[in-house]
Amino acid sequence: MSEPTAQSPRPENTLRQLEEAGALSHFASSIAHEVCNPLSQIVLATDLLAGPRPLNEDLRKKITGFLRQGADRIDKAMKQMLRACAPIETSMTPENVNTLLDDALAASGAAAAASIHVEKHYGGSLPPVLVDRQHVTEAITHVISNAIDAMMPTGGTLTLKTELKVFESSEREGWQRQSWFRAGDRAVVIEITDTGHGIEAAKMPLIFEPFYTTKPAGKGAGLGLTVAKKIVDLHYGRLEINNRREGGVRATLTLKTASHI
Amino acid sequence: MSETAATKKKILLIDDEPFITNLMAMNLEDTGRYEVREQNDSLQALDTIMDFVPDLIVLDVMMPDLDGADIIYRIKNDSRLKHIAVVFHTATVRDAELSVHGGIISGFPFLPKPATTEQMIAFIEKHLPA
Repeated sequence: MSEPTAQSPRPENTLRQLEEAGALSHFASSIAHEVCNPLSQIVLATDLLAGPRPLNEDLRKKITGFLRQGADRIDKAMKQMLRACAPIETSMTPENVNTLLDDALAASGAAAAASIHVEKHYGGSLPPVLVDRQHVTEAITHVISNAIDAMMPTGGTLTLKTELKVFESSEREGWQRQSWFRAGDRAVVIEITDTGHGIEAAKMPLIFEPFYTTKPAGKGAGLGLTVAKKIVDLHYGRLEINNRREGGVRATLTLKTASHI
Repeated sequence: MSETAATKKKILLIDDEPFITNLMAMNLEDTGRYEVREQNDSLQALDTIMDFVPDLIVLDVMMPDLDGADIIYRIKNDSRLKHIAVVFHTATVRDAELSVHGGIISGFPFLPKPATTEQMIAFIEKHLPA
């Protein structure tokens, strides 16, 4: 095979450009979906206000509710999009993952949901991880919130488990050398499992894509896992999501311990 | 001119956004020309088509479970349903794309969101079978 020249771009560059173009196209159509649907709602509600239908108090409330809800959805989608695209500034401190997990659990509202049973299996004496506390708590909160949503409305069991893992062999994750795990590396593994309906195999490759969601319209813009992955990547960690054989989903978040960054 | 129940055209709106179908239904019904039914669960779409037997279906594209492409495939491969007119109403095409193709993509008419009620009615009338 001939060496790549200036006239013939390296194959991997071409592939990356194609991937980026595809991702951009997907991103653009997702934004269009998230904005044009509520915009459609606003246009149609305005038409109804201007139309022949007599407006009693109930209908007036209903239409103004449609207008407000549409405007709120656009506002939320734009804010989340900016959040997903913005560079993340970090302030690293040594943290105990069990505390981060408890904070995320409180932020997700899981403890308050009557139909969600929470089981904790926290490892004791875990070494600290060097992380940005606020961002990693946010990432875990997104994962827990997704697990809860997958079990609603019937409810189910949310299991949180932490443990120390010592890598016996090297494992590569992504292109960045810092995110590779080498034999002897120590990491703290957070497992979040639910008893929900799981994720269709065909949809699994899309779950970290921005704006990809299986939730009902208006119930989530599909940016939670995108942001969570971005935060974990920034910490040279690993976020994996798999279906469990017994049903539901297992999310595994691996963070190197402070002494192995 | 107001139509009688027997002469009203039957329009089925399939979209996972209940606010949109609800508003479209009220606006279309206010013309007095259409009998409208809504379906927000794509998995129930085929059953609703069988039950309602619409003259025209306004179909969203991006929906959970079955998307618009899945549903049109099933309609066009069912001898009982394939005669029914289907138009797409979607946020994922642009006017510029449609103007190049005369409003038709892959053989089906598309109306981009957001569309006003006036645009929607003109679009429906253009594609309703005589």
